[in-house]
Amino acid sequence: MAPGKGLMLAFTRKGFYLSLALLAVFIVIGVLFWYGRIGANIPGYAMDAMYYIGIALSMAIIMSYAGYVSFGHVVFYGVGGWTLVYTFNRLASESGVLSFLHGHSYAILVVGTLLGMALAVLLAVTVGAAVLRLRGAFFAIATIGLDYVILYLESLYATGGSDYMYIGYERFLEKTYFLYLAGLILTVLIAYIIRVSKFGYGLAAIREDEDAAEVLGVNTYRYKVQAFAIAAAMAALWGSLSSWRTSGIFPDFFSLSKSVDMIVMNVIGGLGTFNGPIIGSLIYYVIIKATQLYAKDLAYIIVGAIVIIVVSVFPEGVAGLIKSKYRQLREYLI
Amino acid sequence: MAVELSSQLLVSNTLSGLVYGLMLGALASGLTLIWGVMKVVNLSHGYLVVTGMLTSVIFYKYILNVSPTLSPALAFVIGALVGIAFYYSSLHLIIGKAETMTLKIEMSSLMSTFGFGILILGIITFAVNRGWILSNEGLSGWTLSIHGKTYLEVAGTHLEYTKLLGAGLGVVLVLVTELFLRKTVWGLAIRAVAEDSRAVALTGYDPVKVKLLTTIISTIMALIAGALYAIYLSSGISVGLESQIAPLSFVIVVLGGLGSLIGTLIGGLIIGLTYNITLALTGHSEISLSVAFAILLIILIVRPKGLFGR
Repeated sequence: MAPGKGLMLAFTRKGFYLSLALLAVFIVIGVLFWYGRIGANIPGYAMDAMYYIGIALSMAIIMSYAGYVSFGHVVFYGVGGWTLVYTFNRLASESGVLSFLHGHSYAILVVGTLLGMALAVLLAVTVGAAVLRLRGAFFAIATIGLDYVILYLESLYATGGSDYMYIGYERFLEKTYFLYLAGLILTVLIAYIIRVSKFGYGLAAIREDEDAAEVLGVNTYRYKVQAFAIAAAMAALWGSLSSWRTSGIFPDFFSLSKSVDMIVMNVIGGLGTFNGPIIGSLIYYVIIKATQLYAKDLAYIIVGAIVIIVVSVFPEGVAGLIKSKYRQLREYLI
Repeated sequence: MAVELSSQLLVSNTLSGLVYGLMLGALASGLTLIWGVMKVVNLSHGYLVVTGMLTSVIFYKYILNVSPTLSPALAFVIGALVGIAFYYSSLHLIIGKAETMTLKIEMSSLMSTFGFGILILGIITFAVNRGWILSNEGLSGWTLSIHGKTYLEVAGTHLEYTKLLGAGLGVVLVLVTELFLRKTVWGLAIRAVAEDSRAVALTGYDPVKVKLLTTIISTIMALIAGALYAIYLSSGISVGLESQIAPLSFVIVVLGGLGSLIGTLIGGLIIGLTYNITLALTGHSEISLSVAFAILLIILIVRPKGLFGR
């Protein structure tokens, strides 16, 4: 299908049905949970899975679609979580700027999340825009630097006062589940629309050969900054949702290991497709859960070995494997 | 938390910053070799350094009771073994056959070295969880003293002998490697691969062997520097240090220019001084580290080849 031929047509492609089926599973679990037919275990696992898919897709926009590996993506995730907690405890406190919101926890949640996303976008178009002038490994290293700057500044602030860490409002797991679901639907839709739009094809051109894309008339720099900003906003959304679920942020909210999660999921799934990162995040979640249950000691060893094996033996990830081995399934990947 | 700023404080921080800077330069030197010669951005470098530190501790505390001053020799042997494992597990399939490093290969090798780093972290974490080693190790009970003093007094500043020894041997390590690269045939081959891999193959040297050798030397340098850093620190040796060593090494390598060993020493001095003087001015190590990374970001954007890069 030619890009931009009509958004409605794009939603009838086979690859999107896969996401719809996945969303349907989450909706069914949510409804059963809401009416008390199942305990909290399965919805808990489902929320973990949604979280992994969410952060993997937010990273996918810059890493899988545009080919830029960012180790600093966790910064935006952290900014989202941090802003939400800050909104609850400072801005919307009895003496804060947004004191009229005080007591309305869900209104604060929405406002705090939007503020966090706005802050992430602001960071992405200022600092990110400078970093995006670099390519490949230099970009990756610069984002590591960015992550550490924010990490150290945050830890400096954290030692100053600790009351900002927790959300003191009562939360209900059922409602949190549907908040996650809403976040996931939003994330999947945005990622999918980007993937099948002209914008997404421009990003793919940048991934394959940036100089050629530039020659062909793609405004590569603007595309990259826009993709980075959207990815940042989505990471902030998930940071906000997850700090709401865990009722606060912890020192590891900015830690590099979350970027690692996001990168590994995309590597396993394979770069360049829409469903690759989703498949990758589900596989990763199963591996992480299984190691947590059966071989906690070996978690890092297993993850490290997987990364090495995937990168050197299956450089295109699961999506590439499917593409080469089962050609008839190609359409399902997009 | 205002820190009283006196000229004495500035002098002592400058002096200790110089020593620290040379140590940092030695820590980063293995990275500049593998990155400059093979275009492999080795994200496991920090973990390799930590492996060297733990080598020193393990042989001192758990096996054989080897004095830490001899640990660089042990680090040499173990570094060679780790280097071979590193090359064949993480690099050979990706760069072994490559004549030129395309962006794709560069990113693949970056990811696989990243995986190797997580693997080392996993092995160390495993050993800590099983109680084989402590999470926060030290060379307890070991000191260096000359004439009954453990430090050298310069301009009212106490420079501990352990730190002087660690940093001093670090400089020796860098200079010896530089001599090897300049004066031996294999050193020439390594430098030639950095220029043109195919031309090296035409002269009869197997590029795969040169790449293997480069990886091994780089790993040995990382482990020896780690063993020296263990001497330098004497206590508080943990895998968590990786999160300082690795990013600072990247800063220093970029500052000094890729592949320039002497450049790393200069880059290390700049970062060591910046770190200590910022620490003296603000009193927060977090701000010092942030300043170091801010320098990295600025250098990368303004002059990606580094201050002394060709």
